[in-house]
Amino acid sequence: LSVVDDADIAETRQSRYYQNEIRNWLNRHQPGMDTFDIHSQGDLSTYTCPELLSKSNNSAQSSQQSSLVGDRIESNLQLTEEVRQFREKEHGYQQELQRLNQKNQRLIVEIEQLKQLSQNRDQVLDKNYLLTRNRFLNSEVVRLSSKWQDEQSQYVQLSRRVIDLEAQLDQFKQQYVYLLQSCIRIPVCERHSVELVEVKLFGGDVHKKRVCQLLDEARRIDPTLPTFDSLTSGNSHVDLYGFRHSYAEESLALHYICTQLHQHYQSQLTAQQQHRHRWKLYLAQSKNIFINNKETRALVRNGIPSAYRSTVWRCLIHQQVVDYKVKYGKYYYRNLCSSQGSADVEFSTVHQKQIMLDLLRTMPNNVHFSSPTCKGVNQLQTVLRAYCLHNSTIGYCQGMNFIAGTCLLFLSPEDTFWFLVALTEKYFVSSYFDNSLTGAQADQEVLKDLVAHMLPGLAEHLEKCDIDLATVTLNWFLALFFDAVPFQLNPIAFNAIKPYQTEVEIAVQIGLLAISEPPP
Amino acid sequence: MAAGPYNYSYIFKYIIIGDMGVGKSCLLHQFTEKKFMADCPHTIGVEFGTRIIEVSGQKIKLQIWDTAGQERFRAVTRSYYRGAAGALMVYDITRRSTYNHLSSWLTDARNLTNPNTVIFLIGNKSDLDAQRDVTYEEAKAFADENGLTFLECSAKTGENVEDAFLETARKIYQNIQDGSLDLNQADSGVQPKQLPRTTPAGGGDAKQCNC
Repeated sequence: LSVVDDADIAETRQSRYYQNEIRNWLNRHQPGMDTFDIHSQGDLSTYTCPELLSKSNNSAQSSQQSSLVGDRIESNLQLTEEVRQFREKEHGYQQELQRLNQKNQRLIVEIEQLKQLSQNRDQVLDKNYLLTRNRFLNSEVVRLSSKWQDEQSQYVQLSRRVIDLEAQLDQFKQQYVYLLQSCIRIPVCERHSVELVEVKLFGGDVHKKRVCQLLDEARRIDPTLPTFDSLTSGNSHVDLYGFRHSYAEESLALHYICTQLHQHYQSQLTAQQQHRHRWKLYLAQSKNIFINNKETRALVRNGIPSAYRSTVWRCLIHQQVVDYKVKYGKYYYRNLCSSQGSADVEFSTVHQKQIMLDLLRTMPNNVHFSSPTCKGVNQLQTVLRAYCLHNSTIGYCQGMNFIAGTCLLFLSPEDTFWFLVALTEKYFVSSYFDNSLTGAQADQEVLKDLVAHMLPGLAEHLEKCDIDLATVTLNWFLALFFDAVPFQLNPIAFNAIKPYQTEVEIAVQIGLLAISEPPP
Repeated sequence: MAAGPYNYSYIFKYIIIGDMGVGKSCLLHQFTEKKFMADCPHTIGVEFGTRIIEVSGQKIKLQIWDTAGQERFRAVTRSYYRGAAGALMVYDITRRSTYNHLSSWLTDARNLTNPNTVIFLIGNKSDLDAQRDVTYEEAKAFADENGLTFLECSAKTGENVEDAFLETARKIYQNIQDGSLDLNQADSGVQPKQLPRTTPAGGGDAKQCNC
């Protein structure tokens, strides 16, 4: 548009320039023709000069002046001609100017139109553009959202599958370590010794590597698990309860790790977590009073979670001896501990000697009981002594030390003392631990009868080998399975016995024996 | 078959008796495993060990019953005396009380076993000579008086342990040889090895109970 403008202006200037030129020329040749107005006249061709015409008429009449006049006419004619030419020229310019003006006008209008048009077009363009864009975007949104939905459902499927596979993998791990556990055997050789066990695993160190890998993984969750190195090459691993574990043979260390891993995996199961939760709720509801009902039995049968074991044991023991506690008073145990002896001094001295002999022979491989200065040893001595003073008829019976020792790992000395009281005077008949172990021996006979009835294969086998079942089982009864099952299981046996007494013990025994029942 | 696990001529049954903490289980362990068991829980009731030895070219399997020493367990362990060919009666040379109780143990052994049972007296913990409470001579006199063979041993160092078990076996074997021990007697404590039941096809040793 500006170009058009400039061109227009230039044209206008040009026409003005010509007008000025004409005016100057006229001034120079006809100084009297000041009034001549190009603009007002418009057309130069129609212009007539009266002065010039009268002057030419006069020259024709005077001969004298004829040459002069002729010259003048000549020059006049020339001038007229020139004027005419200029007029024509001017006329041309005028026309040109007009045309240019018109053109200018037209261009201005056109510019206006264009301006308007461009404005409109901008508006239209904008709207269209936005509409298109919007449509495109909408379609994109629709497309992406459907794609997202697809992805989402695929993701859900995949994560379900991952969960499934992880669960499967966990199960495999658990079963794998369990399987490795069963690879232990006692080789048949001239010297039948329980120490001569071996673990045979095929595949070189594949299993060692695998188990160590699983162990590293598990130790991230439970750092109390042993490491392979802590069990072998002269080192010893101290477990949760204080027992030292050390193995001369790598394969046996591996076997031990497998048992630990299996336990670890089991504790990680959702079922176990739910079980712990149920216990938590139960404890909150029961306010530490346990009623022997279906719910309690079901919970106890599935095991008392280690976090609640102390609490539950304490409550169960308390429930058993609450009448004693009322009878003897609050400070009974403390008084027994500080007492210098009873009337029957000599009797308790015998027990005292026997207790001293057994203190270090109770859990020699446990860090709390391994030397005379250990806290556990001192507590054990105090508890056993207090018990002898409390019940001098029963006194100290070997086996009580194992029971008390085990209890001390979870309970205070006073609770341990009360457990011994509950065990010997409440759970079992008082003849159980007496001077000739009458009750315990009677139970052996009951057990033998039951075994003959329920596990005839085993009974026959024992008969053939001339082995008295009581050889194996008496200590199971007297020490509550202390050395009959791996220690980790021991608290479970304890748990089971507390609410149900002797029947359970016999049931557990039959269960244990059933494992060794030869196949029919 | 060459020397296999079942290749022995007799089974001799032994019992080990004596007071609490004299080292009965450690003696047994030293004899069967040839090492000292430093930290082992004490025995409740009865425990069991075996080893095959050789006497006069005969392989003999010793079946050894290790008993709990606490007085009240005697009621239980007494039933194991029956049918013992050898009885190792142990006291602790550093504790006189364990020596003093020997007569009571001897009474039990004499009453509950057969007359041919070889009773061997062992004074254990001979490595703790500085703490000795019972002299060798005194115990030797007691043994001679009662017709017992006597040795001082150390389950810790292994000194004389092998001898005590082997000497007892030799005496029993001698009793068999000279006919004073009747193998047909139910409580002799000696079983001639059961011949393996051969299959009709004669397929060698059939598997038997391995105790």
